[in-house]
Amino acid sequence: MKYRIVHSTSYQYSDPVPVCHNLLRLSPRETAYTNCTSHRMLIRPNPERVSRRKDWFGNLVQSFSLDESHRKLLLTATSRVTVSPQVVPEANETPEWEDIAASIRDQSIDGWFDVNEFVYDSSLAPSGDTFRDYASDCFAPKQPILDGAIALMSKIFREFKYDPKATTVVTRPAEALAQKHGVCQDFAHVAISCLRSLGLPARYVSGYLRTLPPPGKERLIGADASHAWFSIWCGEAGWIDLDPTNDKVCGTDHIPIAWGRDYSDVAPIRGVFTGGGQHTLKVSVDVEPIG
Amino acid sequence: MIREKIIPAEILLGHPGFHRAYHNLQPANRRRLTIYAADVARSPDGRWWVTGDRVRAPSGLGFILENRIITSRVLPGVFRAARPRRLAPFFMKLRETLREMAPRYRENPRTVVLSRGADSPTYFEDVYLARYLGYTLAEGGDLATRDGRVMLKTLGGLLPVEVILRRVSDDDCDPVELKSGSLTGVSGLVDVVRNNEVVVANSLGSRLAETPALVPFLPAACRKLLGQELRLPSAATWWCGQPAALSYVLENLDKLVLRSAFIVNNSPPIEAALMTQAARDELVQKLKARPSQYVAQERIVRSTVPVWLGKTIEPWHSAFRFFVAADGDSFLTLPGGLARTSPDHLSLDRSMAAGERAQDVWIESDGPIESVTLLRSSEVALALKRGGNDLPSRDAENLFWLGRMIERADGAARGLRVLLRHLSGDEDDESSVVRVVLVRALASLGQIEPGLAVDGLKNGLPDLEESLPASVFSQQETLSLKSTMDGVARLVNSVRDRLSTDAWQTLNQLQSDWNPSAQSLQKMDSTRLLQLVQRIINGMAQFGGLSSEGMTRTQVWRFLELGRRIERVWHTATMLQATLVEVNDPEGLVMESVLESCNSIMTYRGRYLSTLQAEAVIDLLTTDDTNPRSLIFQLSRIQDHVAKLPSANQAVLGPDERLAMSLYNSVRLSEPHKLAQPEDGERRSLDRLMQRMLDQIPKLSNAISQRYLIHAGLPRPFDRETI
Repeated sequence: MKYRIVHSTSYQYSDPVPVCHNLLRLSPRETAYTNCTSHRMLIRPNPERVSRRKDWFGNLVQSFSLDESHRKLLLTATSRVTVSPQVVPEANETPEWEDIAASIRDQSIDGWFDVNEFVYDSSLAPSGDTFRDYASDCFAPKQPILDGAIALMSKIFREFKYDPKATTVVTRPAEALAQKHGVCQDFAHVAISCLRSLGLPARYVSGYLRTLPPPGKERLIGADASHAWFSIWCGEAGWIDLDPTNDKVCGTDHIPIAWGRDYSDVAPIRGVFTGGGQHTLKVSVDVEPIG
Repeated sequence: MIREKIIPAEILLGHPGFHRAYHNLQPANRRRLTIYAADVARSPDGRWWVTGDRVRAPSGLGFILENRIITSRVLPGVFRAARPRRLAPFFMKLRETLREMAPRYRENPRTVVLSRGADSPTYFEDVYLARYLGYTLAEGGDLATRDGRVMLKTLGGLLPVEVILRRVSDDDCDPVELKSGSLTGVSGLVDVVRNNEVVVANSLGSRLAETPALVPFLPAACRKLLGQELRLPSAATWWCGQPAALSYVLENLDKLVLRSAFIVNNSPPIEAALMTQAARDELVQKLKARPSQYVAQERIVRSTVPVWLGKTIEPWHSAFRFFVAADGDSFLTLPGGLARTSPDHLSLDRSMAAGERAQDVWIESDGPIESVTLLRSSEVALALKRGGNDLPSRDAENLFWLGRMIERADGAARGLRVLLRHLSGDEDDESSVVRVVLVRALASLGQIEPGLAVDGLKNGLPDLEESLPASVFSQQETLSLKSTMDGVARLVNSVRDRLSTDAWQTLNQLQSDWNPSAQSLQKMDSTRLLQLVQRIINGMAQFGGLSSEGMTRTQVWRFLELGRRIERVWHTATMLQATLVEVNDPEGLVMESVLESCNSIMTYRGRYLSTLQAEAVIDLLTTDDTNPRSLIFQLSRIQDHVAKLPSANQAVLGPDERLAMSLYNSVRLSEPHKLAQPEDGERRSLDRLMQRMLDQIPKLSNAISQRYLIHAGLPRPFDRETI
């Protein structure tokens, strides 16, 4: 699948903002199955320079500062991405989950070093007994790891209510689990917390999702949104992306931007500004299939 | 070493303080640690043990310097005989190391000490260290990143900074890339460091090196890196993240103290031996649930040192902190250290601040004592300098407000002194007139609640006398003497490095008077209050003398002066409007009180003896340019000062200059005779002129702020989209 993705963010302030500093993670990530053929970042007002680098996780980060006073900041990322189907192993042929956990703990498996950090607690996806208990019926003894992860994804999909009003920026997975509701970010964090509680490496993926219009309707431009899901490491088969919001193993409808331990590693826009008074934020995302 | 399994991966990759932004932040060959401190214990058998590593921004250097100065003064004979090695070479080396690390201008790079600010417990040290090393003391708000550089905001504009000696924790150094919401850092700093446009010492991320969980692995790491054993062993430590260590710790819980495996702070260690059974069970549960979050350490029995207690010498337990500074490829040890002592050896383990006393550690010299000084050698000719414009804007702002607060306190104290004297005097017609007038004046100065003033007069004086202390000590009223003295206390600490020690002490000594216990506030009567205001008047006079004779005429002095002059205009205008606009009969005592509270009674008596006339009084306090308390005198100085502020030399006058000039002219053009002339029992022109002062003075103050003192405000994090 080929996509043209336009992600626009605008901040409008009631008072002038004399200074702001920003870090952007809005550039789709190149992976074995995704290829970003073009990416353009439009920033208004135009900063003097935008620096680009890869972060610890290999995500592309663009950073810039504005020292001229402004009342509006506009960020538009336009990307063209080709997505090939991911090779997903037969779930019941993946290693037993206890073996994966043990081989990372004992550092006895190839690639343990790169995977290791995704086992540990992070600020937005900590482990804990409640998470382990919640996941325990998905991970029976000797259960193949991907089997278990898919069961967990489906369990979250079944039991959680999608409710954009229920959670805030700082909703913790423990709260989301107790309330059984949230948005894609919360579902991903809950899944990651569950997997980490079992000693399994799981990471957070931010990206876009192609949305299909209802039958007979036109596709609405700009009505899409940023999306998030999780990824589980299955040993030799590597990382497999699972989307608990849609109960789907990620395929060509999912376009990853960045991954990390949790949302805080991959926030699309991070930074600070001074002044500004009251401000409003508007976001529009358009994922357009172009063949 | 992680890949080779010398150090468990979790200690780095699971470390809550490992912000990934620390990765690859600086070239691999660049020095990471410039200063290191070791907390050390000596056991009774004479062996030394390291109980903790400190690299974030280890405190203690300032204390050590101050201790050394005190001990050498108090015990000069002992000091000379013992010949302790000097501390100065260590600080010279530190300065040299920092200078050489600068990305540019290595001969004299601008270096700042980044402090957490006046509220931080180590602020005193930050000030001391900055002064001793000759660096500018800065807080996060004084620095900004512009055009890829770190800049110091000064009155004269932005000046580039090359080296930052930080006293701020790693994670708090940049809210953009590190801990968001932190206000002590500099937004965008990490990116500037990454581009090698500024050097931060110790490097950002070096806190990982002080992780307590690393301690058990140091011997193996030392063998791997240096091929040798540790010269100074650590106290036996177990990281509970390893199953074998955990089971040992659980079996020997009562013999060990527990701490966080990752976070070093001043919170006390967990002592299972001192716990109730229930608390102990809970601890065991926590340990089992998250073992990797804990380390356990064997308690070192600390040897004792003699401590003089006034009459006897007693053996107290001791804890030490020693420092090393980078020196080329090696490190230089500070020949001395900080010792804390306590009769209770457990308390010394609790925090860096624990312990009843501090002692100066001397290292005896083998050879002759090096004679060194931190001042530059006389061989290098110094470029002659005058006070420049590189005063940080925040300091200028604080000095300006310090000037205002000092004058406000002085004015209020003088007004109160006059009122208090009249309250205790005899009751007759003239004194009751003057009381009414003075109560009104003090209400305008914010010392008496207006409502209280009315009630007090209605219910008679004993009532007023009783309620006056509460009103003066009110924390709700922003102009009350208590609030003003609190303001002085806050400001004087923020600009401590800009004032002489004497000037600082003068103001600081007044503080204890103004923080009375509830009990002594209850017992406060007008006699005691009179003592307190007298002390303020004396203290402020002393400070005035110190600043007029002891401060060079730099911008520091100018902002302090401006604040004082502006406040004095406000005070005199308030007094005159409240007392002399309405004509009283008899008026003699009222005029005398005004002269007294405006500190002009001696001048008046010298000129006119005891004849009190309104015209002469008003002239002396408004239009007499030889009286340093008159309005015209203040306004003329204000005009002079604003004209000499940086960037004030353009052809067009700034708004502050225009306001100052127009106020000056309106007083200059007034005739004392007209001001003193009453119409229907009121001096209307005096009222108009004073009202003009009171309206325009806040505008002048704002104009100065706007022009020189404006700050960008606190950084706020961006909202994020909800998804």
